[in-house]
Amino acid sequence: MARSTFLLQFQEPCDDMTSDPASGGGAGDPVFETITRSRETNDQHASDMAFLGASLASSTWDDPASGMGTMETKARETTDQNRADDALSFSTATATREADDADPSQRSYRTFSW
Amino acid sequence: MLLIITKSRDVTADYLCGRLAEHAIEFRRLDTDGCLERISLSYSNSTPVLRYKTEEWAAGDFTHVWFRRPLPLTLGIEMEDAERAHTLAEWSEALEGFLGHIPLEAWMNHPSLNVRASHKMEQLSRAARFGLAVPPTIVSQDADRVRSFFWDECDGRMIVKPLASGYLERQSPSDDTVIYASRVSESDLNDLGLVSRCPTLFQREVAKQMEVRLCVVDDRVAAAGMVADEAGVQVLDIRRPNVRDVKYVEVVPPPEVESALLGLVRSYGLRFAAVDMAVADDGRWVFFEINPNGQWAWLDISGGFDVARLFVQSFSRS
Repeated sequence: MARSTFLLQFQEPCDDMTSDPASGGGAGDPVFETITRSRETNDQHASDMAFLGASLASSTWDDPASGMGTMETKARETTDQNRADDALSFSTATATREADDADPSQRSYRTFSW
Repeated sequence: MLLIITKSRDVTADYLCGRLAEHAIEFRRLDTDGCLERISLSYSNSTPVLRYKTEEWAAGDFTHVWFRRPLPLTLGIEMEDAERAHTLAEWSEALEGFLGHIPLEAWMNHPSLNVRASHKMEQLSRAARFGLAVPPTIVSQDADRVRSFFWDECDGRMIVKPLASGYLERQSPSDDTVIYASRVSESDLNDLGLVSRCPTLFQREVAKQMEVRLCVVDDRVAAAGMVADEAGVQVLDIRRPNVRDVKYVEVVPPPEVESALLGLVRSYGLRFAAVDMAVADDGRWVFFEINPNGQWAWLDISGGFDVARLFVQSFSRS
């Protein structure tokens, strides 16, 4: 099947065994849940980031459609920018939208990281 | 006292908590997806206090923090969505304000350090600086460059793998897909035009005897060799399919590899890392990547190792 990027051509079905008890694993199976590949373990980076900058409460990080690191500067993004500051151990002096937009280089670096 | 920040359903946390209890190591486990009804926080005179039932904890009481993949906070109160989000943000800030008083060195690992250590390209550059062997690697959007890499630098043995995550979640879990480290064939080169759409990582394939997951915990290293052959040849990606048919073997990294690895992990400020390497056919140890919050418990549960012992030793230190 034609894919939209070169890498995506190599995707294959995820035989996560959840619907195949005979395979000896699946959700709830301790071995399965501690190996390096499952929905559960896909959250490694997200979990690291979730802690930062009041984002433990955020539910946006596990939504692929949320698009980590948008360049948009709409008002709703401001809170995310503060989280990004924290993630990179930058100054947290971005309490206002104006300050947030004042340094485009900082913003682009955040985009790179998120 | 050890503080464990995790979630209610985490097999690795459950497993290590059991081991810690066996060794009478005191800990408090904070499951972020269900703790708010049980804890309270306050701050005065520059001192935050975390309360749980009748207990009171100052940040300084926690000499170790194990950050084990927590989930976002949840709140069991009827609220309108925006107000719930706001309240959870306030809760998070309060909790993180408390945790922010705990020095970075106490964390295994602080998430900011995990993030810093999670960029694959940078990991490869840094590993090479520390003297570890790394496979020839390019990231490119240029089809001609990739083609010349395939023929001139890889002798037609090239793999492609994700830079970030190989797991694609869809609305239904049954539709999820995964991208392993995959061999690129000559016929795949016909589609190289697609690389212009996204930077893509290509690497010379390493002919290997086995893969090795090395768990670095403070100044100790546990190495688990994993052998899975297919017609006498080690498979390209040990995770396919779900690490079934893998034989585990004890291996000891050469002293210079262990030393370089410890230096590499320390350079990120990490106290823990799960590092993927391979023993190549020629005996060289080749570095692939660091997973700063990577999985390890399956090595104990399924492979007969005792990585947990290293955590027990580290968390025993005052």
